[in-house]
Amino acid sequence: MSTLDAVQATLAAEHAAVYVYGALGAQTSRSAEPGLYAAISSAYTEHRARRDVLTRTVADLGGDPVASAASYELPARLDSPERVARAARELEEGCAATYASLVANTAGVRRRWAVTALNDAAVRVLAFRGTPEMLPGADEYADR
Amino acid sequence: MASGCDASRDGSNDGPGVSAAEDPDAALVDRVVAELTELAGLAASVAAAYPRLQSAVRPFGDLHAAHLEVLGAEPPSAGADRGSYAGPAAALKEVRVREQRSQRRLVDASLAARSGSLARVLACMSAGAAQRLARLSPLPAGEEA
Repeated sequence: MSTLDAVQATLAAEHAAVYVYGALGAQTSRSAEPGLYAAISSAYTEHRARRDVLTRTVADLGGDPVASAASYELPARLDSPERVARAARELEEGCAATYASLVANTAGVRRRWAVTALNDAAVRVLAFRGTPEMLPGADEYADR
Repeated sequence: MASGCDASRDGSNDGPGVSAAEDPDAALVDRVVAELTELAGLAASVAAAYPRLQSAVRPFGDLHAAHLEVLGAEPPSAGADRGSYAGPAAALKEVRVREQRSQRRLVDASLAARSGSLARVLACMSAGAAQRLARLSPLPAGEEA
């Protein structure tokens, strides 16, 4: 995979993350679940910022930034804080895997950006009631 | 030691057919293995010296053992010596400080790796360490002695 392809794939994932986090925020009560709401709001803000950075990166690489889809499939039954947290956790785990792939296909400052994003995603998973893994982002080692 | 761990090769920038003898990342992997082996020993040593810290430090030992296995290295054998520490708080602080340093070194190693696959694995290791550090709590008040 070329660097441009990897950045485009990550940008596409960020578009989806921003959309889904927006929906998760809408399903979360700020007063009843302040911790979860804050975690989702923080994640939403972070992924928007990353989306913007990646958009510029694609342009810097001479590409045409992939556009956001009109809509994305949302997790089913977001009718409890537990389900919202699980959806956020799974979303963040997916982002971690995408960042890990970006690490493999970049070098220098772009790889540093990807490693930082991976580390942030791994820690963010814990805010959504996740448990530590041996190698976050590397699904082939998920059973370790 | 070769860096040709059993990491997934999806989407890497690696060149084809690099043998262990000419692996440009071999020295890098050796350094990572040495540091993780040392840290696994530290976790075992602290747990032996202060059994009540086992739940705090054992996850680091397990993490390093898993990472060493991924890198094709042997995890350190059991039977750690009790280290000499100025108390449980000092021992736990030493674990935290050295684990934080190691986590940053894993990031640096990922950036330095020539192999994209190895860079990915090292980055994932750094993320695993970041998770463990995020979960490492200080000793409760009154338990420092």
